[in-house]
Amino acid sequence: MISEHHDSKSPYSGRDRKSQAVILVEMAVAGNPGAFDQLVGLNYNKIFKMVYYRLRSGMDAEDVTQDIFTQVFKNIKSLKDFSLFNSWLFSIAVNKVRDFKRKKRFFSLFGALSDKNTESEGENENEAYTASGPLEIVIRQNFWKQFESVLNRLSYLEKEVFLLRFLDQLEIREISDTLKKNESTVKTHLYRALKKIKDDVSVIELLKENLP
Amino acid sequence: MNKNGCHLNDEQIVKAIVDRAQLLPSEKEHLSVCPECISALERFENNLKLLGQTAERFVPLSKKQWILHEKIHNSFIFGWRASFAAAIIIFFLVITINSDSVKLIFNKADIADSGLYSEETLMTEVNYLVENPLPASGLFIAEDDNADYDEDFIDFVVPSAEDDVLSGIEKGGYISC
Repeated sequence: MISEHHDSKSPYSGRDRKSQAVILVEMAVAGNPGAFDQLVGLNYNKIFKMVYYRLRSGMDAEDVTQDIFTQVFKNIKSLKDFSLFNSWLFSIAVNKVRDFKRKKRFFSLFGALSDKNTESEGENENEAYTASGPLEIVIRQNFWKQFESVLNRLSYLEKEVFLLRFLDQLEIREISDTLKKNESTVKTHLYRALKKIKDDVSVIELLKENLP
Repeated sequence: MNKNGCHLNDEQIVKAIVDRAQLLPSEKEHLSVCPECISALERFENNLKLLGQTAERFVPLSKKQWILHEKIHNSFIFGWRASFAAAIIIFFLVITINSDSVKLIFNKADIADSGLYSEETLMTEVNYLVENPLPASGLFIAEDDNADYDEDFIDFVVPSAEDDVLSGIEKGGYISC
């Protein structure tokens, strides 16, 4: 089954990992600072990637990830069911990303962020150049551009469900908890998203071009 | 084969990817035995998996580290104290700016202007008095108004200095008869 296949690949879906996370959450809720640090260490990259998929800017993704973990730290005591930590974390992340996009759109109306964006894009490019060659940069930029054009054909919920399922590797139940929608709604949106993507030739081209 | 004796169509393949439990028993049975449908399903699954892997590969590394919660906590306290201090400073600044002494400083130019204005008024009054030394009630003794009195009358009222009587007073301090 596909879900099992994804689960086996997901670094956080193993039973040991889950139980470890639950123990850490329990300790963090009890006020253990070390446990919270470990919890952050366990989830930081996952959340950073999740934010990057949606914002496609390294600097913005770093800032939003910091905000997400700050909010997690402030509100972790309100978490009742420790096993739902992952969904709760993604729920905060989804909301933070949405807020960030909304703010960015609002400020872009006044042109306040235009300079900042140009600067950050430039810095990101420089960062990327230090990490890899120019060809890699071009391939990477091309990929994200095409990826964005593929996602633009989906509605907000279709896009979110698709990203959570196939890029963030969440299960249907976790997506349902994250988005606070029932499972059948999630499946419907995922079905619609996949149908649009399956019919889209550009996705196949995108994958062919970027085969490792 | 499914109940119609056909392979799974695109919709059924997508449905199988979303949740295989959604398929009808006949479709499930077909999928378990038909290599063509299994291949079609796996191809799409692999594409999706590849998309996820490629996306993950193209995410840059995060350079920032999580700020320790102690720092956040401390910065929160510092922030609270700093904002409280700032509020007090602003409060006192507002009061000071509104006080009279500061108003005087800020209105220095106005005061200088008002001094000039009063000087001008004073000079106007002085000039008026120079031109018109007597008040309106005393103007009747001014020369223009007493044109009717001749010189003899004035001499009678105010005798000249060469007059004997007056010279007598000046010389001896008494009147000689």
